[in-house]
Amino acid sequence: MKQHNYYFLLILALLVSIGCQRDDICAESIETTPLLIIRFYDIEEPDELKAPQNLSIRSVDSNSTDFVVNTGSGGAISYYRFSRDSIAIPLKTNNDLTEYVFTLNTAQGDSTATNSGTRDTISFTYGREEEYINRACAYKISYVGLKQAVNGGEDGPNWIEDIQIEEPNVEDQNQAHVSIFF
Amino acid sequence: MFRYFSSLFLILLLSFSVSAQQQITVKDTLRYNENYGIRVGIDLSKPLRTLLDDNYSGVELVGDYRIYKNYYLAAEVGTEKITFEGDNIETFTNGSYIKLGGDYNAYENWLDMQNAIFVGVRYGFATFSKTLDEYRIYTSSNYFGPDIREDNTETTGLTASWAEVMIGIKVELFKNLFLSANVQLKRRIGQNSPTNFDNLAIPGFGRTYDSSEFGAGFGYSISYLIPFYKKARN
Repeated sequence: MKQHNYYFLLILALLVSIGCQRDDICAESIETTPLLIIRFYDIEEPDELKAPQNLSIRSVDSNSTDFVVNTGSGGAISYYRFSRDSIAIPLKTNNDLTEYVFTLNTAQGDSTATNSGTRDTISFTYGREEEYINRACAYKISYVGLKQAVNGGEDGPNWIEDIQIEEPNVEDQNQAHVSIFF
Repeated sequence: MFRYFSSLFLILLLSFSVSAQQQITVKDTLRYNENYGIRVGIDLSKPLRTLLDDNYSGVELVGDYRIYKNYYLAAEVGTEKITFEGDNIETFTNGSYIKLGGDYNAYENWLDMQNAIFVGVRYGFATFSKTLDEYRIYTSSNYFGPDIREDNTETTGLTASWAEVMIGIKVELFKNLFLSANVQLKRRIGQNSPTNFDNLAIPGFGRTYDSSEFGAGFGYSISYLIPFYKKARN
């Protein structure tokens, strides 16, 4: 009995040491670095949401065929010829400036979004704060003091009439941070 | 966490059944002398783990002193270096700890044997430093690629304390030489952690859990009893 008990204890000790290694996967329900949520409104009726037609979004410093794709819960969303009234795009976590080209009315087959449609460039500037989440997800960035500037070239913005920061501190994804009127 | 509770419970049950069996043994009229003294030793699992596990190095000295019949004062001192490598974070913890408490031997020996099935309680205290080696800014979009950062600043002067219950056995291999195994359940009492970070591992406590104060561990040690005097068993 004594010897048996002894082995039993040893095996248990081994199981305890092995059994507690990996519960370290970052769950999707945990709030990590927030995406910037933008909603589009009709300039004529500013309370009405309005979906831009065939909107394509890419970062200014990315390859021009490389459009924003968000992978997450609910599958991947690609912002290429996208026609809905709200979008969620990432801001850079290693730079205080993120610039996007918003191309309206991208023609079918235009994989560069530079041949067709109307283009405006939006610059978002902000401060960044690092915050520890947990051992699985490590750190997140919260953006503070969000500012924007629209650049459409020499003649001013091409399709964006007005843009407003609704929430300058981008800490979560519970509400829209920016409104674009067109 | 329940896994530890249930395994501890199992061991408890088992040891009770052993002691129950012992109670019905025939009372003999002979008297046996028992050794009283200090028992010192070293944990074998930690040097072994140092050899096998690149992310760990540690050593622990163990000791106990028999004060009265089945009661022992017990202590462990040790030092540990623990690297935690997660998917998104890597940290290094380096420090020392001491555990003080007592053991109660619930095993009634035959003849002049000196084996033990014991339960123990400890108060543990650790001082350590922590380095956040590498971490990732976690984003739900990988459009701009992963943002992985290095940070080699060491935060020193961290402390933690915990309470611990353990259950284990000691077997006398040769005269006064003991092999001992135990499992430990710990609950953190206090700690101070680096700003904007957490203690992912604590020397003597082991890895921590984000959602609870509990931890678990085990020991496997060899020790030698230095007898001071003998006393007849009642």
